[in-house]
Amino acid sequence: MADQWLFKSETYDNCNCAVNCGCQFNLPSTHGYCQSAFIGNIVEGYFGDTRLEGLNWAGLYKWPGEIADGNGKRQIIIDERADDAQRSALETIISGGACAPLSNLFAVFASTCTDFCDTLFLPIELEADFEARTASVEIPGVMTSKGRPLINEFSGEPFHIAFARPSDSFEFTYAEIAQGSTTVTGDMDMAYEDSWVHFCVHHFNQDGLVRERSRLTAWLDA
Amino acid sequence: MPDQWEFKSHTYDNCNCSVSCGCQFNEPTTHGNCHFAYTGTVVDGHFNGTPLDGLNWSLICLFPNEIAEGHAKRQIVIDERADEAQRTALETIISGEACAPLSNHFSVFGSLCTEFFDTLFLPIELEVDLAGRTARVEIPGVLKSAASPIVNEFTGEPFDIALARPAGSFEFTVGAIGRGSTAATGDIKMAFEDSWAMFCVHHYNQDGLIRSESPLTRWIAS
Repeated sequence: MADQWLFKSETYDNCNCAVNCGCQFNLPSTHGYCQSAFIGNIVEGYFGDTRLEGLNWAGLYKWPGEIADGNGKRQIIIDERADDAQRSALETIISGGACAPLSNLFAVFASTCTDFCDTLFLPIELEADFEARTASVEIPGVMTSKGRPLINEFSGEPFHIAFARPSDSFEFTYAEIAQGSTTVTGDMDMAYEDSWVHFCVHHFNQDGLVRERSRLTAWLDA
Repeated sequence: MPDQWEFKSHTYDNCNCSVSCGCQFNEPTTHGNCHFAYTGTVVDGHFNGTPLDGLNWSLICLFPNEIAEGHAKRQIVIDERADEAQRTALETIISGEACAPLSNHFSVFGSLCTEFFDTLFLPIELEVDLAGRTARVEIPGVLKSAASPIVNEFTGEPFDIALARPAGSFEFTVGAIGRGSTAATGDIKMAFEDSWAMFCVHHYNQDGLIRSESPLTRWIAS
């Protein structure tokens, strides 16, 4: 039987695009190339009999041009608290393995990468507040990142906007938009400031995206 | 007593920005100026008891620079089927009057216009499918517009994305994104192709935006 797994992560992403990131609309990127850092915390997950809850992960990507043009470089970082079975499971999922072809973000991105750095096992500090749209990431020796809300230029107040994908996404059904700054050193050396951030639930299994209502949509009931 | 009214319209908007329209994100416009045409049909509405249901309307504006810099031209078109009381009511609302200051997008746009053409009373043909992201508009001698979904460049299938505003919007709760083409040939002349189209429910009263369920919010809450 094929691998059965579930990966439900609350994820913070900061890329180098402006906060109307073209990739989300089938448009070109802001600067003609893409650099992106995803960091998440698994709130529910398993791979076969191996539980994955509570573990953190990061996926770092650099493409020299548009994502679809390929030649990307990737590095995966896995929570050092993971045991051997958990490390193997997370590396498999985040590598885009053990799933229907191109059925989730990891698989799509992997198909556009040609340079795969060694996976690192490190402490991953992640504090993310999805409601407040703030995040703080520290992976010693590798990266720091901070996310914060957009600010309405007219009122000075936090500006609240989200993306909804009624169908067809390989990444999320709903994502909150914010801004952030990231510095990465080491194999994936890169840095950008005050650029695109999204907060979303990555909810995948071996077949693709699991379309469960995001807790971020609770405001609709108010 | 101040005017009491409600305006709930299924609205199609086409502007000259790319489909990642910066204005939605507190970012600059795509081309450094803003040309747009809104056309809607009132599905539920009244003005001090005068019923407005079933009437169509259009708002055509041309901003020479960023919207916030003002100096815009505006022309309102009202369904010729409207009687005198309905014409006055719709012109008042769409002019951005009889409401809390800047509490809806008509009022915000009105505050940024300096040239106001005579309101026209004409037949307004409008076919709009909010969730399907299609529209067709014809106002003889003044406006022609049509819209369709964005197409996923990789699969050739319709690409389904919407913007959600959990808080702070003066225009919509959820706006579905498509692409459209418009030619305006009345007092305001402009044309653009395959650019930002948005489908939303404009739901306002004298105090501001009303949050309500719509064909665009139902899937998110399910």
